[in-house]
Amino acid sequence: MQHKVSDEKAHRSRRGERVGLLALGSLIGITVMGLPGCGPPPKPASLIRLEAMRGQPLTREVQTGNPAGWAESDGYYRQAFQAWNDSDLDDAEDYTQLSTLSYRIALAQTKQKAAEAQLRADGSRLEIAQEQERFYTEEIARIQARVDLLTANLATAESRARERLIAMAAAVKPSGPSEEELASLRQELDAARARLTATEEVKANLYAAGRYNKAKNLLGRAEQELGAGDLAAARTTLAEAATETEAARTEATPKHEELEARRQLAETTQRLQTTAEAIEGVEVRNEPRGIVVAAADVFAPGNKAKLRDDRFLLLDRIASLVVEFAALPVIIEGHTDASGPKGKREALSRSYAETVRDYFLEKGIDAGRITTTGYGDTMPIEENRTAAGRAKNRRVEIVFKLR
Amino acid sequence: MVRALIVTLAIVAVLLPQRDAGADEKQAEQIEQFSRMLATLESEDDARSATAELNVLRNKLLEARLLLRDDKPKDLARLLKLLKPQVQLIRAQIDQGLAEKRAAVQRSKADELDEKVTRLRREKDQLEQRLTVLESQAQSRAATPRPGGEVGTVPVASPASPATTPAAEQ
Repeated sequence: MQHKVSDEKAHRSRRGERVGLLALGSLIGITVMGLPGCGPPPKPASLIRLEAMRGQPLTREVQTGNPAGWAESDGYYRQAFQAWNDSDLDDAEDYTQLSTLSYRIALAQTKQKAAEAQLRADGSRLEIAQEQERFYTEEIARIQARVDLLTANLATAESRARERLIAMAAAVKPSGPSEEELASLRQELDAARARLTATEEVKANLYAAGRYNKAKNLLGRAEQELGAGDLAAARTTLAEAATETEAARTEATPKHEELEARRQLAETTQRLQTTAEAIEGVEVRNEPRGIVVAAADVFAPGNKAKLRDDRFLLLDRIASLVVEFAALPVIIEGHTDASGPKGKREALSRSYAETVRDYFLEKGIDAGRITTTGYGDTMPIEENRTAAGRAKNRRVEIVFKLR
Repeated sequence: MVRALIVTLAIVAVLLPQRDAGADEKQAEQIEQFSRMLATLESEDDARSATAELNVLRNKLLEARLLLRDDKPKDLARLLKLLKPQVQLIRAQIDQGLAEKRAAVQRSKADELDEKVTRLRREKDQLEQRLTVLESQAQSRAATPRPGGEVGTVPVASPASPATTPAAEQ
């Protein structure tokens, strides 16, 4: 039994030794695994970011502006790099953080120094500007005082000179407007009167009586003012009168032209009618379309437009009438009797009209004034049963168009 | 076996961190110190130059309290090591912001005054021109004979005193 216990102890002892040896072997294995040749682990992202930050252009500012801060950050970076190289990632991370913070502190301090330098520079600029402000303010006050003094002196001298001139002028001649000025204004007044009188050509005194009379009154007032020697008032009144004169002309002109046209028309109508009625052998009618001069029995009976030999004298007189009233357009209308083929009467009547037109053209009348037309036997003036009646129906009517 | 156990215990004793009885209190005290610093810095950052970094510090302090509560002294020690430079960064950023603000105000004042000086210089030049014209008028009037034959006597202002422009103007 004791032997058995002893064996068991020996067995346990051997087993413990085996476990110890196994642990030692594992430790050696791990150490061997970690030996150089396996290389560092992947670089931490924070360390990569730090290196990127150190590569920025700002780093140069930090290096020059804050060398101590930069040295501290750089030291931490080297430790971080070494820790990473030694695969100590915790230390690498800590040193990376410390280096990053140191870098940013150094950068902020650099910027603070730059701002303080700018503050000092602007302070100097401010002092200089304040000095200039004082200088210019004083200079302006000094010059302004001299300007004020000179202005006052000049004004006084000017005033005295004016007073002396007035006194001299008073001594030389009595006060009042000069003869030249008066004469000039009188001429203006005469011209204004002439212009007002000229408006009577368009009957402004009738068709724009209000303005015409106002202009006339103003001219009367201007004359009074001239007489009183008030030239300024006279000039103003003359200007008003000129305005009213022009307005009176403008207002009267269209009314005058319309009434003048009517008057001329009435006169022409009357003269034409009187002249036409003086021609023996024609019938004259005043119709709305114009003055109608009818010449009967000027064509020989038959189907041809043959002028009767004894009627040329009558046609000559009518032609003279057409020539005299050259401004009026003329229509020559032909009419037949009821004899001959019915279907040819209208054509025959047109031939009557055209024959008379051709005769007029021979007399030198402008063709552009004349139009012709034929009505056949549709508008008889006498019975067609008798030869005398048919002779009267074979006629031409010359219409002088008045409107 | 006993020998192996003793060796193992010795290794463990060497490898395990030494727990200091006063370490917790010390770390807690550090956290409180940093909290007070945070409050001070927050009150100083009127210009809000370091808002982001103050938030970082606040979050790290929160994390530190959690580590203290969870009894993780090693992690807490690593974190506390970073808090001091974080505080320094905030201080630097606040100082930078204040300096830049002061510089901006100063620059604005200097710019305004420069403009005013330019305006004043122009005004002075115009006045000098006006003075020259007036002096010329006064002299010509003084030289013109009066209707009575005498010569006018408009007093001409005394010649301009030679003013010395500040050197900086040039």
